[in-house]
Amino acid sequence: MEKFKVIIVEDDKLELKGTQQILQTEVPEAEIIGTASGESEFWKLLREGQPDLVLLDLGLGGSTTVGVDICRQLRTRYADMKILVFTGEILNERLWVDVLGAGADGIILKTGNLLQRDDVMQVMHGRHLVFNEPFLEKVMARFRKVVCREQASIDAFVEYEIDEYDERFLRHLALGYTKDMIAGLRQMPFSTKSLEKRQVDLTNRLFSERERSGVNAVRLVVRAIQLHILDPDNLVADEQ
Amino acid sequence: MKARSALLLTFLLALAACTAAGEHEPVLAERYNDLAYRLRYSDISASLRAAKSARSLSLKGSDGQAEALNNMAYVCYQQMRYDQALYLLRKVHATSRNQLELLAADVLTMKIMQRIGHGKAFFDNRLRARKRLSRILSEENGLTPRQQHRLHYALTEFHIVASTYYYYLGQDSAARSEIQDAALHVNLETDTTQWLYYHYMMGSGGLVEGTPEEVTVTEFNHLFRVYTLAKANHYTYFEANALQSFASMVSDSLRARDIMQQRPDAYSFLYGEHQRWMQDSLPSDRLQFAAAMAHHSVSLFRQYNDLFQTACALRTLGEVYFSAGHYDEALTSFRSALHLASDHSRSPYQVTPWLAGIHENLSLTYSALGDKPVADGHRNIYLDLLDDSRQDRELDSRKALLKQEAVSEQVQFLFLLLLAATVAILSAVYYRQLKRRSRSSEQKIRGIAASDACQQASRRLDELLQEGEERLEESREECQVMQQRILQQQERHIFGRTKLSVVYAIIPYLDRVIAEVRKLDAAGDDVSGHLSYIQELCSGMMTVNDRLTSWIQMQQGKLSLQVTRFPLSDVLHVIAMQQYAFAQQQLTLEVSETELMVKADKPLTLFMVNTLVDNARKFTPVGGKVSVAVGEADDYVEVSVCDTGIGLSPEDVQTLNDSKVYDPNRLGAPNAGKGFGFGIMNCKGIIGSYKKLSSLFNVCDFGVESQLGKGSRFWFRLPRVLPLLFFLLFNVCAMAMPPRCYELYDSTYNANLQGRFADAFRYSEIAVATIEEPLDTPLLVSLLNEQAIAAQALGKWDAYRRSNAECVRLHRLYSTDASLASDCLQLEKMTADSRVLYVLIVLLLIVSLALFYRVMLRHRLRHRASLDDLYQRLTAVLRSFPETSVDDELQAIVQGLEQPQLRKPVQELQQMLASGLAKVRDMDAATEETGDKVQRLRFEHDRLYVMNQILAGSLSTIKHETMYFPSRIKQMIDEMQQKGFDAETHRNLLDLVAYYRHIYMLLYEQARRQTDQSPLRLQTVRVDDLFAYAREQGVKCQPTEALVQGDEMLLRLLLDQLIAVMSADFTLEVDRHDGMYYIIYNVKGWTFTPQQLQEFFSPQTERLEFLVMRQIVREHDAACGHPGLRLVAEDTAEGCRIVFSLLAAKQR
Repeated sequence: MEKFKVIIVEDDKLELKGTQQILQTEVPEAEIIGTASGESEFWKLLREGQPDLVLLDLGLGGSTTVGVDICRQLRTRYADMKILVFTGEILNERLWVDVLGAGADGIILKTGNLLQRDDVMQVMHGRHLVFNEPFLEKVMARFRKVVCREQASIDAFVEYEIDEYDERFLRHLALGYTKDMIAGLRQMPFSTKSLEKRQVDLTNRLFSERERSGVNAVRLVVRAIQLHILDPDNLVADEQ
Repeated sequence: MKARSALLLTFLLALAACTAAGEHEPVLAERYNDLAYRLRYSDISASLRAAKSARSLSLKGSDGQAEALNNMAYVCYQQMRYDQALYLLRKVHATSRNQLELLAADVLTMKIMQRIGHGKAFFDNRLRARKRLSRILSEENGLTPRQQHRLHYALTEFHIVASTYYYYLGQDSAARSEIQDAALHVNLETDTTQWLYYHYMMGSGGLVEGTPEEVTVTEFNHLFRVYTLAKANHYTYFEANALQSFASMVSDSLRARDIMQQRPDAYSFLYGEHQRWMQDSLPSDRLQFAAAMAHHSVSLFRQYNDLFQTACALRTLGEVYFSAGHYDEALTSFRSALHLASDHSRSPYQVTPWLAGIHENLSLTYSALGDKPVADGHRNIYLDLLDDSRQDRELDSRKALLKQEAVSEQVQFLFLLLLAATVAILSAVYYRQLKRRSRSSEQKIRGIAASDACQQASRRLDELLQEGEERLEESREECQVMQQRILQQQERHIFGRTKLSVVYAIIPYLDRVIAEVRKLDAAGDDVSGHLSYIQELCSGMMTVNDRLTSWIQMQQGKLSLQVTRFPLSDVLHVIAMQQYAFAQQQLTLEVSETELMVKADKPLTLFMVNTLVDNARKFTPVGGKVSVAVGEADDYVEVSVCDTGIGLSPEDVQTLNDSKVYDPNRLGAPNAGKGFGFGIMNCKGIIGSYKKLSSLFNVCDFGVESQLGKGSRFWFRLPRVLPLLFFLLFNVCAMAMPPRCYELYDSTYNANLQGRFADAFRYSEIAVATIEEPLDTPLLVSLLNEQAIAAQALGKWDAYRRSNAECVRLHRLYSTDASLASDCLQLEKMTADSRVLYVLIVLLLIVSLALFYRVMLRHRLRHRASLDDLYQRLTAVLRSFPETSVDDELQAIVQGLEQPQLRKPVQELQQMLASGLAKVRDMDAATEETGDKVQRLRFEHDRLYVMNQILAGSLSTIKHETMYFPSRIKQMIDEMQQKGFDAETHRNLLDLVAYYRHIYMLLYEQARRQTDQSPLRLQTVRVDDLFAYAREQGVKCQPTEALVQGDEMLLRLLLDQLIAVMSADFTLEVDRHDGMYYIIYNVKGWTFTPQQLQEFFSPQTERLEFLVMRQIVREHDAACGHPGLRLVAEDTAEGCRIVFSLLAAKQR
């Protein structure tokens, strides 16, 4: 591959040294045209020469998130410039989302194998969403959780024999509808009385015999949420 | 004898049949009555039959019937059917008007009351009998011989009964004087039975004065006279009684000797008579003789059919056996006596003193037989009965009442006379005054505002206002103090967070080291570059570590615990509030009650118990139980949390108990999900910090016991303290007690309780010697009782008798008033006399007053009453202020007002009070609000405090546990540089680095948990306020209108840091762009290299202040949603500047 220009933004001298070493030994195509330890230094450097790739640390000096701001500004000014975030913020997941939203092409966490040739090359070949293994592990852990929850929801529907009316009934209860209001919904062809029966029936299904006493609508709905029958992120009323 | 009397009776009945036609029935009845009277001491059943016949022969309401009823009652008395006897006597009172028979009935009632121990009834009847007697005696000359006879009978009986009564009360002199009165009326010729009765009384003890020898002989003489005469005339009752008394005399060796010396003839006569009754089993001749007489007495009483006396004789027999040491026989006798005595079916009345005596005998006998528990049981009954039988205390009050009545009646009498005299004058004057007073009442109501009551009310209102103000002030002050303390904790928290960020700064280095070490393997010849880079990284880590260490040490002095003395229940009550939450999860939470006090840090203790309870809940399945128990030792209190949960493996228990650092995620049962959390580690950390604080806390400890599947017990110990109150009370009690006596009594009592009777006896003797009687009678009685118990248990019968007799004597003395009876009599008489006159005058007065009222006063009074009532109501409202709802009451008064001209002053009053009260209420509401705020602040403070404490502990652990790693890594790298790369060292190095990271992350995570909640409260802050704060510290600031989002307290802290780090010629200014305010801190004359400026905010910096600033800016950045707040140090033409940005406040 052809040579390309790199600017490294890194406030820690020792770390900068390591990063430089990695680039020099593993990515000989990369030509480091400058390093910056802070925001102002970086913009000054940028005026001197435009790089193909910016290797960006998020926390600089006194601030943890200045990198996100730099990234956003860079992206608006230079749409084609590759930006790879190389950060030690391994616990602050919110920042990852922010910086990807600000236009970063990838995030490499400063842990595990650190920066590798592959990561840099993929970004240079135009790939977006380039991540190293520790990052992906974390993302996967979260992803697994979400998928499991969805599966739990499906299992609960089967195990507790929840039909669409049950779900609709519970959902609207959660939204604060009274039984009269629910009975008035277009997709609920039931009388208030049979809804009352349904509630008793649902209580019997969702609670063991010992737990049943004193269960009211609120407790029932909370149980439904706990069992993933209702998705609290997706509580929307049906059209009237 | 029985045959004889039966014969006599049959003869009489036949006579009656024969003469029924000729003779008048009353005469016959009279004869039957005489017979019944004569037979009453020789054959009780025959006496009854005769009396019944007399009754049937006499007319209803006649004298004969009354006498017959009296005779029947007497028989009932002898047979212990007291209720029946009383019934018959009541009948006499109801039907007869014969004063003599009524007197006889009174006397017999007295006799019954004396026996069943009803002192009050005794006196009532005695009074009645006295009155009757005086009436009869005034007409004595008109009496027939038969009536004379009845009178003398009643008189002797009256005095003898009284004498007996006093004798049993222990009032010997009164008893003697009564018996002397009786002596005046007895006559052998006219009434043999009463003569016998009198002499028997004289002989039976206590009524003769003189030396013991004289007493014995005189008494013996009386008795011997009774005995011979009774035997000759078949008065079985007296014969048996005399024998019984002989028996008890003879059983006493001294008295027996006196009799033998003085009356050898009589003695040998009796001895001879009783030879056939004697048994050989008894040790001495004398005792055999005594027992024989007692036996004889018993059999005579049985024959006579007097249960009471039979039991008495049995008792005497028992006593003889007892003194002979034949306890088994004694026991048999006492028990049959008790059996006779306690046959309740006979009568609802009990002869208490006598029963008591039998129980005492039984107690002694059982004690002698070695059956202590039964003996104690009887002694207790004995004491209870003794207590029951003492003179009724009601008499005291009766006497007092009568006295009071008499006085008040006299006063009233005089008063009435005066009243009657002045009533006429007064009425006139009163009528005129009424008019004047009505006017003045009206005046008073108009001027109510100046009245005392009103002034008092307004004073009270002022007081209330002042109190309210003080309370408000107090709670405000408390609030300020709490705020101050929260500020301190917040500051501490920020410092803690700052340090944690420094801890975190090592992690990228560590990751780099790991990556570099991994690369070493593949680097081949190019190792040295990597090695030197690792060296540099290690140096970097060491620098950061050094900084951290020095900062932690620097602040260690400030981090002392808040040790106080508090009752553990304070903490446990908070824990117990979770019971509902537990029940929701179908778990039981049991929190034990305790009064123990500990010395510890209260919020931290709560945190520990809470942590353990939370953990227990996490690992206990549905239906399980978590209990918080408190144990104690001399110097510590152990709080333990037990659960019936899944338990821990032995390895886990060992890890928890022994290692300082462990991976909490690896603990717990494999199936139930791991994740023990850092709670245990934090608790151990707290215990550790106690121990570091002072040697007092050496008892502190923490431990875990557990069995897989069965449950766990987590416990910790805190130093125990005694409550202050305890010491105080103890001292007060000790001071109030008189010296020694009470202690000795206690010792005696305890010794008795523990069975050390010899000790008890000794103590009690010492104590008795030291007590002054009148002062401490109750104590002395108790002591003597204890002494008696001890003596009884030790078998010291003489000592027992002495102390028991003394005990009983004092007990009676203490509860008796000798002059009571006469006082009562006198007072009653006085009252009765004045009553008649009194009634007359009262009637007169009432009539005249009623007339006056009806004719003149009524109208005037009503008018004045309404004014008075109004005034009273107003005053009452004012006086009860502020208890009643003044507003409502006054409103009601205004509405019900009859005089419209008085409305205004009342309304003004209402207004004044109501507005004052409203102010007080407002103030109270404000106080309550502040109180709530204080409560909230305290809660927040405690939470922050605990977090800080744990954070400090965690940081300290990080320091201790990981400090050494970088230098060790460096050392290995050094080795590698010298010896060249080898695979084994490389592997070791990799392991070491990986372990280091693992431990480090673990501890970091533990500490980080404490910083989950941001200490920051975002609000709109005027930058000018901040500048004003800076100005106070000498910073020149340009005025500004800028409003930013931030936490004022933290921003002030930030300025503090700035000023602390660079105090030179400085100014503050504000610049705004892109929705942010940049606060610029210009420092003139200070120049730094770019390198230095860049390192200001890096973990390697030498000043913690810079990092605190960085932390504060980062907190703001996070709280505002990461807008990218800046904190930079730059050089300027004149020196340097530090700039930080804040988000502009949103415009509302």
